[in-house]
Amino acid sequence: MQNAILRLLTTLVTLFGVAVVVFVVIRLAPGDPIAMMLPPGASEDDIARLRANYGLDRSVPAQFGIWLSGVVQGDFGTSISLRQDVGSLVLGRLPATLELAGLALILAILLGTTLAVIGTLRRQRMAESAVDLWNGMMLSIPDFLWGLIFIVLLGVVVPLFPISGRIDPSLNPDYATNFLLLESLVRLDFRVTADLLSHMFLPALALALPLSAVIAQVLKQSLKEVMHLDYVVLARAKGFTEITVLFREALRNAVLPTLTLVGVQFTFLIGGTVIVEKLFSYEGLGNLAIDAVINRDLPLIQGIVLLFAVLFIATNLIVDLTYAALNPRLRHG
Amino acid sequence: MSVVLEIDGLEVRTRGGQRLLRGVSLSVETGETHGLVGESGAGKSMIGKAVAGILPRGVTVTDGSIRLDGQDLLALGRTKRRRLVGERVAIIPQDPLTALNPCRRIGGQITDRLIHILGWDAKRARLRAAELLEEVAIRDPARVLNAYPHEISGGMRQRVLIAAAFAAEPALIIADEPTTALDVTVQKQVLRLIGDLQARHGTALLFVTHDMGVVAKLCPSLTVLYAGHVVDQGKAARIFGPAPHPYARALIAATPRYDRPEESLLPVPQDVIDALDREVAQADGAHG
Repeated sequence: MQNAILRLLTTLVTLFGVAVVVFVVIRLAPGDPIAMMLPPGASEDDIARLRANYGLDRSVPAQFGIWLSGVVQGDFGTSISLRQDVGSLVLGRLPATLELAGLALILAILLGTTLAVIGTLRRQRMAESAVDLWNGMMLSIPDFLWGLIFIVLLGVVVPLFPISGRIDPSLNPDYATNFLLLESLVRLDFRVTADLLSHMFLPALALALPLSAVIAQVLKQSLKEVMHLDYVVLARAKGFTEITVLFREALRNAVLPTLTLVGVQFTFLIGGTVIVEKLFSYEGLGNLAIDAVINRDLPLIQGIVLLFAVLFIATNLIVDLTYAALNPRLRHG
Repeated sequence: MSVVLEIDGLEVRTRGGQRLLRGVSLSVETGETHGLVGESGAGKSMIGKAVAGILPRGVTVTDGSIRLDGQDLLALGRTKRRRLVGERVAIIPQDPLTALNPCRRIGGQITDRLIHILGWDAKRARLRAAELLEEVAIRDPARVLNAYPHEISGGMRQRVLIAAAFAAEPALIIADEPTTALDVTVQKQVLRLIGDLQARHGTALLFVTHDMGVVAKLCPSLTVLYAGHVVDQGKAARIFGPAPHPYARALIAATPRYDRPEESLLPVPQDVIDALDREVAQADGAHG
């Protein structure tokens, strides 16, 4: 209980720190939101009036005070470029990004685990070298480059997948939430599910490939160490096949050290959604973030960054909880 | 009595060509306890590992035969060999702290082989596991079956491993220094336990140890190894008798004794080692 309170407090301090840094940095950066809004010939008077209207004529600390008092009451301000409430705008986009990142994570885990298992079972053979080579390649190409490669190869040269948007507009599902993928599954509306997945597949794969290589590499190393331990050797002597031994005895123990790293890497993946979503015109948080930055939409940038920070912290929390669930030694007390 | 394990001319080498076992031959009959003694590095554990098919990576059997119930293990295919060993041979490992999977409950680790290799149904396997835990003097079997290894003591874990080894009624048990990692008070209990269970179940036991005191108590016959070479082999009565092989005598003198401390813990004399090295070199020469 005490732990939980401490954790909540540190979370709040972290979020406050993030808010201060972002608030200051985006105001120091060149570019003026007001200049972006008015036509080129606007008078000094108009500019000043609009500036006062958005509170931008005040000092930075004063602006921060106003913004913070709003946030405490659940008001994240109004987007300058879209003229909508930042809170609802950002939360509206969040489900799309969560679904994309979640799918990417699942792909990365499946791919990474498969590669690690193959590399471990076929040690010191061609297959292991092939896995190492593949990992090196996956690691050295960043997610957005994979995105571009996929768009060119699988979207244009061989048009297997749609390369733009989240869903075919003609489907236009009338859903209660913006978790379209999850809701379509719950409603057994598989036509929508299939369309969503076909739109999400390439961006998710682009995000997943580098992470899958990290998982494969670390898990393979970890498995290699565990496969020499006494209880694994003993299980082998009991007459179990190598693959049974690997899955029943070794994998769970080998996953533990991998998990922390996957958590950290997953936060990079969430960061990667910013560019990848833009590439695929996927209507998520990342796409919104880029537009907000281009338009110098200060309140919107502020809101998005804060939400990203919350996502990172939540990821770490989930990793810790999973760790405890997988490791019986951490379970009691 | 029938011969359970018969090893003939066993040669084990590393990939680099280093000889770990030099033409070792021995046999163990039903219900018999055979001791394997020697200093560390003599290759005594390698014999057990070769039989169980768990030699470390890069170490292989290069010559000789291992017969289990009359079947030559080395002539069998991998799958057949794994099954046969899984059904007929069990191991009591050296270190109870590392020989149990920390992420699995004790029960599953005893019953997995009964269920998946011997084809028992889960209920019967569980009953059997509880029965065996009682046999190794664990008072609350139901609780221990549901516990994780970190929840029970080291001595208790070793007893769990002994129970697991005997549960499947194997023809042969290889005990690989089962008391080395335990403290002295627990050692005695564990030895008595292994001896009792072995007598009751009529299992053949290959007992690997560096402790001559343990051998004297437990093993009617033994093999003495030096650098992978059989130095002496035969009845314990003869080897512990008035005229043992000099190396065996040196090993006995190296054993700690509480009654005569000044006569114990003596290092092996250099002239004995020199004589052994000559003997090994000679055997190597004869072998080609």
